Amino acid sequence: MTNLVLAVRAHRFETLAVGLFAVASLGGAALVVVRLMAYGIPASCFRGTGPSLICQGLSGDMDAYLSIARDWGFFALAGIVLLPIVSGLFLGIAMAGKEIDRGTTVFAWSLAPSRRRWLVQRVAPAALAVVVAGLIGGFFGDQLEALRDPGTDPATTFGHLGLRGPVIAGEALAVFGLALAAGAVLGRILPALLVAAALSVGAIAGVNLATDAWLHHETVAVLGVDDVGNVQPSWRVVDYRVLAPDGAIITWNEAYARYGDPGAPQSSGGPVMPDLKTVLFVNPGEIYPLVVARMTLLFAALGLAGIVLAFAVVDRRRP
Amino acid sequence: MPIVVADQLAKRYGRAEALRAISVEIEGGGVTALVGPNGAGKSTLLKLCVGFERPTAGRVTVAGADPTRDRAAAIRAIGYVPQSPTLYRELTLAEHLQLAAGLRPGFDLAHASGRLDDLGIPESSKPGELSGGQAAQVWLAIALGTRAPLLLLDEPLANLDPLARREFLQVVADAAKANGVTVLLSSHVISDVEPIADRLLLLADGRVLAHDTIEATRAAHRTLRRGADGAERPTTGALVSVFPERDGRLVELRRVEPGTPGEPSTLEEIVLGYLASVRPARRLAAA
Repeated sequence: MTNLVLAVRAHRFETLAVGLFAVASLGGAALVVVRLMAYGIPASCFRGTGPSLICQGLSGDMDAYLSIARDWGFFALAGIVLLPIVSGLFLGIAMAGKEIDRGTTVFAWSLAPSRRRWLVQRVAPAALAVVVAGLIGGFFGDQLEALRDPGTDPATTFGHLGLRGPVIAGEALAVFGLALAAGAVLGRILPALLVAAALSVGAIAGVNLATDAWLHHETVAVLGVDDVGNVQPSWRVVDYRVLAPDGAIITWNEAYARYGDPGAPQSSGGPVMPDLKTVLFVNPGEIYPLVVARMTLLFAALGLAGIVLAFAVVDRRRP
Repeated sequence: MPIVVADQLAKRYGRAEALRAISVEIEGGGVTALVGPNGAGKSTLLKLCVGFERPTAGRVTVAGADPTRDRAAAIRAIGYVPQSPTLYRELTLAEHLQLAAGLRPGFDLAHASGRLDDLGIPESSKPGELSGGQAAQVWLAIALGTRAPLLLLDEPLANLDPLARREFLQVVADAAKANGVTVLLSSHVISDVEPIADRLLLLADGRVLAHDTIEATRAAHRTLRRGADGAERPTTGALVSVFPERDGRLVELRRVEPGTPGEPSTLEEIVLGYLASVRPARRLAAA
């Protein structure tokens, strides 16, 4: 415990900066959530399916609610998105890179029989802190998602995928691990910060691209949704196609090539487009928890890889 | 029994050879002055002992433990003071002692704290408020607090004023005498460490030039000054080198059999003589 307190004091600036940012972003998100919940407007009013008498009486509140949800909700979500990056980078660099840069590892490593134990004593609480902050941020992100689009279940909708829920904690661990590894390898604060930031952006982009690619292959075909209004909010629509009379699923471009443009005058003598059924390729909301779990695990794996690399480097490098 | 054993120990940084397959055994107890010019390999040898560097070839053991293979055992035997005594600028000295106690099992907090008290360095101070000499003393207090049998002091006197040097050396000498601690004290100025040294280990160009007790080293060398009158002087023993004094007169350093008549050389003459023996070679190599 004494070591933890001393480690916090030795890295006062980073701890304070991360603490203030966490309080500001999480506190801001919590305020917005509490403020929106305090309105107590039934979700059915926003969907236009609620009792008209009650909903009409709440129209002023609904406007104010939507204004707060749109404006302050944006800032709250931005804070939550930045939280894992700020906390991971600052604490990750401080744990090894800053110590090596300042030469204080000479003090620690000449006294500690085990460098691994020294690093564990520092990394474990810091990693726990960024993950817990990420989990709280992710929780508020889910709450904001539900409140910004009343009536939706954040656990079965793809809105703001990767910007809320446990993914934030995974992201925080990934950024922390990459920053820790960059600091251990480079041993300089500024270069490590720049490299860690670039690696983190690459990791976040990579995981999102991989998720997009996977989701593209995990679509379900839904027939007979000809009106956009019938598209369920929980669906993540990947592609619109059409069902040809011969049973083939073709793209709209192929349909135009085969049957002509339905908007063109019929007197042109071209083929007449038959009554085509729309086929939607969607990711159903039911798989959202699975997708989130996969993204979280990917980020966590990246973070753990960074931590393992940092341990290997610290064990071998000169102070 | 030797506490540090280097066997064909070599260390290379890129193309530069810091240590060239040296073999040396440092006996336990007393103060060994590790002397040599800048770039001799003194710091490298100490860093290899503490596990901060890995040998390119050969091996070194500290209290029987190889710092590369069993760092924990080697570190437990070592109290280390680096060339640049960096401390955590955000922590007070009391917090440094607590940190040391958390890092090193068996750390004697009271002993380290007592040392700072004796030196009149307040534990509430932060590193930014300390002079270079005080920072070195803090490191030494912590190194002594480890109660390790071996103290490795890497040019700790380099940035100290004469009074601070004296205080520092006094603490080191007391520790060596009272607690039986072995001290390996590096410096590039022999006169700095001579007052407390029991043994001399002279390094230059990554090679061991001389290693023995101070008494035996002096007894085994004679210095002959070539007079301006050109008078003949008896020449005995093997010539180590000829080097100029400040006044331009040439001086011969000879290695002689113990018991040879004549005034033994001073340590400074011996060190200068051996360094002069390798300097021309270095210049030739550089050319």
